[in-house]
Amino acid sequence: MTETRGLDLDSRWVGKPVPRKDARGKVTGETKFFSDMDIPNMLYAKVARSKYPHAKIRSINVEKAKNTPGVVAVLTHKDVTGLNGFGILLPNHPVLCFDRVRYLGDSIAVVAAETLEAAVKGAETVEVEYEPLPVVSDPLEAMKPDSPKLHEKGNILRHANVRVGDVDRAFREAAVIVENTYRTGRQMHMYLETEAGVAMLDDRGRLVLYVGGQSPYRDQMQISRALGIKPEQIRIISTPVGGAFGAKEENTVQIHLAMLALKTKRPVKMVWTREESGITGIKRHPMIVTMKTAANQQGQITANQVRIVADTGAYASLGPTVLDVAVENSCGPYRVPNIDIDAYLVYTNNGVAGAFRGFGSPQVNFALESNVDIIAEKLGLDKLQIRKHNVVREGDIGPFGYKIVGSVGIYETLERAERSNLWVNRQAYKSKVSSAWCKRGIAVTTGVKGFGFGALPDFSAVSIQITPTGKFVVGVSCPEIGQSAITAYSQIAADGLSCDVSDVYLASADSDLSPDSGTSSSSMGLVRAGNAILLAVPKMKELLLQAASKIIAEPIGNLTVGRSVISSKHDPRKSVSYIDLARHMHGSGAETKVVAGFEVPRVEKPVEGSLEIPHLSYMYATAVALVEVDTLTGGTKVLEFYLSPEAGRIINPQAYTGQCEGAIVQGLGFALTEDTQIENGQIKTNNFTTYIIPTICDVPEIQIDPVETNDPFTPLGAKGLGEIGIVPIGSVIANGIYDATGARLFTLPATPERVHEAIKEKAGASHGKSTR
Amino acid sequence: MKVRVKIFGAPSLSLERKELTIELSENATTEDLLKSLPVEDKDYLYVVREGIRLGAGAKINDGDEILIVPPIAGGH
Repeated sequence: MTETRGLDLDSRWVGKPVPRKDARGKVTGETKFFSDMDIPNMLYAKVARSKYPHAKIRSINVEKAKNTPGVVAVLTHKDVTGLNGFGILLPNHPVLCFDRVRYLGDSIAVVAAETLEAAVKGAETVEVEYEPLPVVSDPLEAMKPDSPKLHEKGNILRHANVRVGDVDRAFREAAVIVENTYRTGRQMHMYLETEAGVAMLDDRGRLVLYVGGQSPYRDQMQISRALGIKPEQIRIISTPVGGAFGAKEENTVQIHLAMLALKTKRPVKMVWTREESGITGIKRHPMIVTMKTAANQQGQITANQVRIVADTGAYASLGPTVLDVAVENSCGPYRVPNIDIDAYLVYTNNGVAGAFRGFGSPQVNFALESNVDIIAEKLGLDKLQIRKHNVVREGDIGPFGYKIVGSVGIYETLERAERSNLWVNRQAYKSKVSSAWCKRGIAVTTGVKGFGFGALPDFSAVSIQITPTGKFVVGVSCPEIGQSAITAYSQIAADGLSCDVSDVYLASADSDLSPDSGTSSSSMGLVRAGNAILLAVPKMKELLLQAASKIIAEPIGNLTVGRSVISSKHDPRKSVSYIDLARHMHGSGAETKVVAGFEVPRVEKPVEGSLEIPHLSYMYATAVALVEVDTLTGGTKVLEFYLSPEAGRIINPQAYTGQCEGAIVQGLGFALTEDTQIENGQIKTNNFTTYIIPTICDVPEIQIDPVETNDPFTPLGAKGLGEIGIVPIGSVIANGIYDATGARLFTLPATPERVHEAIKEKAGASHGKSTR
Repeated sequence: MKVRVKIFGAPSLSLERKELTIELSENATTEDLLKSLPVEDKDYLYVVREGIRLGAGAKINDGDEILIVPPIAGGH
């Protein structure tokens, strides 16, 4: 186990594979998600959505809908009592549209009825007169001055430009320059539980929402703003969530449910259908990345010029910060002295893009790691060695001139990968093929991503309360979205409080029971709330010691904390258990609860022209993949996968491995199959029949080989983890296909059609535009 | 009493100075603090002290360092 700074944890639990507290319920099916909730007297809700991807609304008539048997309420924009808009960064997404629709998921009216069938019927009978407008589907066309404007200020939501050094000079002096344009797909989150929730009023008339989201307090704020009511009038409960991956950071069902519950004064349930989720929900930003990378004869990268065009769809959501992360990660974990990045975030009628695991990083990683492979080949260098030669090291200045405060373990992950069975025996692995027309390849790539909000303020508060039976309730508002957060928080608290992990309960993601701990997002839930727990523990211990001092008549300085017991240092017979302490504390009216807050360190001033960058600490990973390509069909299978992540201290090895494996499998989809097809604003792939995600049959043998460090960025020593596993997956698979076939992919996903086409073209193909 | 205030994100864009020292009366609350600030949409700003978001009516203390933060999020 690594050395622990911060509080003196005895590590009875931290670092151990403590079984997930939520495992049994989820595995046996006993866990009830919010889409499973049934409440007496409950209504069912359905949204009437746009019939056009882009149109003016001439009129809305809900009379037929109101007269539909079983329908109890039909609400339109006239019923939005606060701001008719939502969006975490910029609230320009209408709660209910009134003058214009900008994508097929736009909401016109929301219906509550006695049955789901009646609600659907009611929504279908909402009459809207439209005037169709030209559809803006190509982000490059959308940027042109004569393109139809989706928003008043035009279609370019954000332009970021970051320059460091002198790229022109570096290009003049380079031994090799590689320039290519890469494209990535519009990946869907495809969580098993679609957007869902139940809203009702409590006996005091307060709104209570059980809703699958990633931050109850952000949801509370967005509802409060849209309804014009005080946040204190809204209680949000957000655990458990049946998958989120970023998309449930944004408002989905929350505001509509709140409006209907207030109007009908009855419980109301809404569950988006799979198709509705596909049409309406957030997606990963497709990006067009043109990257010109230069290196000297030794393979040292000397310059990187990058142009990014990101399709953010109809509304802002978290697009502006996704663009920031793409900019920040454009140069990967490499020392690049000369940088010129121009990045555009562009509105189109192609759904809405926002947060998705990786948050802009996998897209630019595909471009960079492909260019690095090509440079290595041109210079005759080993593809792992060129990466070792270029990666940042401990104490380095990051690409934008800021010192990296966190641990930097990327070199060590490359060393691990170099010693891995897959890399050492790569020629033997490649020599075996399933059939004569199959070819195998092995590639190595790296990835990097900051965790947390970087230069933006980021804070977390938690509470700890001792129960009358001597157990502890830890209040954390970051929801359990499948990342095993509840267990990790329990381990940290149990170590700090010297008790059994089973004696720690989580009051998870309930705005009435847990203070604002921030979001379960940006790979940061553990670091945010984990550090806050570390700060709350000594406060709770102080309460325990005060009570013990009275009971056993010893000064606090003479007391020592053992396992669920406090004793005199001098007379071990004088001791009191946590159970007796709790009885005394609750019986005497003593304070039983503490709250502590953690403010995440950040730079004082962000990089000029950015919101969120730089981060002060990063997660790193090196990936190695063995792929086999069927040269007749272009079909690609990933046979073996190796990932060495560096994500600081390991709190729970089992959860750590699980997060990495999940990210890799989701990355397989990004790399090989997943791309929401939208033609002229119409989504063609909105369910599991037409949108193909990896199944267990596609999952290769996976080895996770972590480099453990003690990240000095925060006292906990752990970094984020949830996203880093997905970052290098697209690039390592694309480079593996090249290694197998000699065919270079410039567009992901690498579908059989694309791979087959690339193989056919390879004879005449060059490695991009090479000037030297 | 005096408190130091740092204002972040959109509310700070129109401000020349993003760090202010504000004079408040004794027993001032978060509402009093927000009223004294030259920012818009005060109902939807977070008042944060030592990593803890303060609720409506929470008391401000002399010498406090306060962050004024719009609700923001990022990542997966």
